[in-house]
Order: sequence, then C-alpha cells, then structure tokens
Amino acid sequence: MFIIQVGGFLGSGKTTLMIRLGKAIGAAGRKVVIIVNEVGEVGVDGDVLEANKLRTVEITEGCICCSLSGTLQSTLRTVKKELSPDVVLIEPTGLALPKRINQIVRTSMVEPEGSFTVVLVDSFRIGDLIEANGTFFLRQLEGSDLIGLNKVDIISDEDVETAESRLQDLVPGAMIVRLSAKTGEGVDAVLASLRLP
Amino acid sequence: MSEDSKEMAGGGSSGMTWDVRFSDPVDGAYLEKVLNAWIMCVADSLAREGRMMGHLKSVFRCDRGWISLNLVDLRLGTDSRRSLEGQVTAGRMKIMAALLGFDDMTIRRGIEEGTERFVRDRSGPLELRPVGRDEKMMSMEGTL
Repeated sequence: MFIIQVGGFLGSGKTTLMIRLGKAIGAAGRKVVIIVNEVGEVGVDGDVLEANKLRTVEITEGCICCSLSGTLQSTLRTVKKELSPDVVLIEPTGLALPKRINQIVRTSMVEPEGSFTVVLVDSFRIGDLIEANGTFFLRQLEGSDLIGLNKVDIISDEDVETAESRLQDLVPGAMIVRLSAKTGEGVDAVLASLRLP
Repeated sequence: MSEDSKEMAGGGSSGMTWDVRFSDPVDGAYLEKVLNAWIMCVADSLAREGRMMGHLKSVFRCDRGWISLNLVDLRLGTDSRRSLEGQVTAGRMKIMAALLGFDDMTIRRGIEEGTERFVRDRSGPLELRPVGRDEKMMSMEGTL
C-alpha cells in the first residue's frame, strides 16, 4: 500500500487534484481508496469524490492532524485490512499541517510501501495568503515532497514566474511543479514524481 | 498532538445541509444558476463580516447527478462542475465554509442569513428543509 497525501490551504484545489490523481491511478489498474477529512460536520468533498465514482472514506468534525489523529490511524488500518488498496490518497482539511499527518501515518502501524506528499499553493492568492498568515502558510509547506503551484491557468505567465520565485525563496530547493488541477496541466508531472511501485 | 491547527491558523468553519424541492422540474443549467445565486448570497453575507480568505464550497446531489460550486475569492466568482441529466425536482444541498479570521458562529450566521436572503429574493417556488441537527432550527419556504 502506497500513501499519497495532497495537502494545502483552503481552496487550493486539493479535491480537484485528488479526482485527477484517483482516476489516473485507478485507470492504470491500481486499486485506489481516498480518505478525505473535513473540519466541520458537513462533508462536501466526500460527496464530490464519491460522485466522481472514487471509493471514499470521509472523516468529519475535526482535523486529522490534531484532534482526529487517532481516527486517521485507525481508519488507515481498517482500510488496509478490509479494502487492501494499492494506493491510499489522503486529503486533509485546508487548515491541517501535512508534516504532522506524515508523522501520524508513520506511527499508524500500516507499514506503507512508500509515501509521497504533495502540497498545493494557490498561485492566484499566494500574496494574500502570506499577508494573512505567513507563518501558517510556511508551516503547511513543511514535509512536502513536491509543491504544486496550482491555478496557473488563471494568472499571467509573469505572475506565475513571480509566484514560483516567491516559493523558491521561501522553500529553497523545493521541487515545484506548475499545475492546473482544473485543466490537467502539470498533472502528468505530479504522477511521474510519485514513483508508484 | 497538542496544538490545534485550526486555532493556529486563526480559522473557523461551519456547514449546513438542506433537502431542496422545486414545485416544477428544472434542468441542470437552470439549477446551476439557482445554486450559484444561493452561494453568492451566502458569500455576500460572509463578506459583510470580514475579508473572505478561505473556501466556500457546496454540492447538490440527486438521483440525476450532481453539481458542485466553489468560491475561494470574490474576484473570481464561483467555479462550478456539473454532471446531471434530465429534469430535477428534488435533491440534497450541502454548504460548508472555512475561513481565516472568522469564528464558527459567525460563519454559521453568514450561511443562515445568506440562505434566508436567497429564498426571499427567489422568483420561483422552492422549498428548503434543513437536514440532521439543523432540522428543528430552521425551516423556510420561498414562493415569491
């Protein structure tokens, strides 16, 4: 079982990318299960993923990186035992910290074959996000194997360059992929980076 | 984990679910317009409380398919996806928002007030019935 986490701030495009990745990995013959977390009691993303015919387990009313960390661990064990997937995709809430989730997965006793963490950044709002809570923005990038600079389809090439430069300054040496989860641009590059067994 | 990431971010969240019923069947394109108007009413209500930095999302599901609408920035408006065939008379709508600088109750109030305004401003018959824990707290019918 290989575990992929797609993190990132609220509205950064996580669910859209999950649908793309889930369908592509499934089409390649691998059994995919998605674990999606919603901070409130009303789960919208789970419905959207299910409507896209993806096998989904929803965890609501809390965050899997803090209050529901134990629930994530028990869900991973149950999913492995009962569904035996090749790949588990985890979508945390937009207020979660991906690095913490990596730690929780590591101690969940599911012994994955491998794992990979993609953190999405909304290129349209990157300046606003840094201004609103730069400390939290940076903490969300910690633990990423790849940063997806998403929504490049709605900003100019010049603004894409600027956004990427800001990210390179903030996280030196990070692997950054320009992405539009909506149009599919860059998704193949993300898939290739996963190096699925 | 001792630190709550929602508190660390300074964010709040809330959501509601409704059973939606139209008196006459509507097609997917019309339904999308109606739902878009609903989301924009909620967004306007929330925007009166402060700058929206987060995600307002929704999904409508029925036996004919689904529509999802997302709003992350008022400058961009809503982003919608639809897979829906034929005519619809009923379905279930979920709206959820998570925003920086807002507490849960303020978001809840914004969703309620925006929904009330949407129903008030509607020109066609529509019934919304809150589902689950919201069932007894709110019930409305718009028939203007």
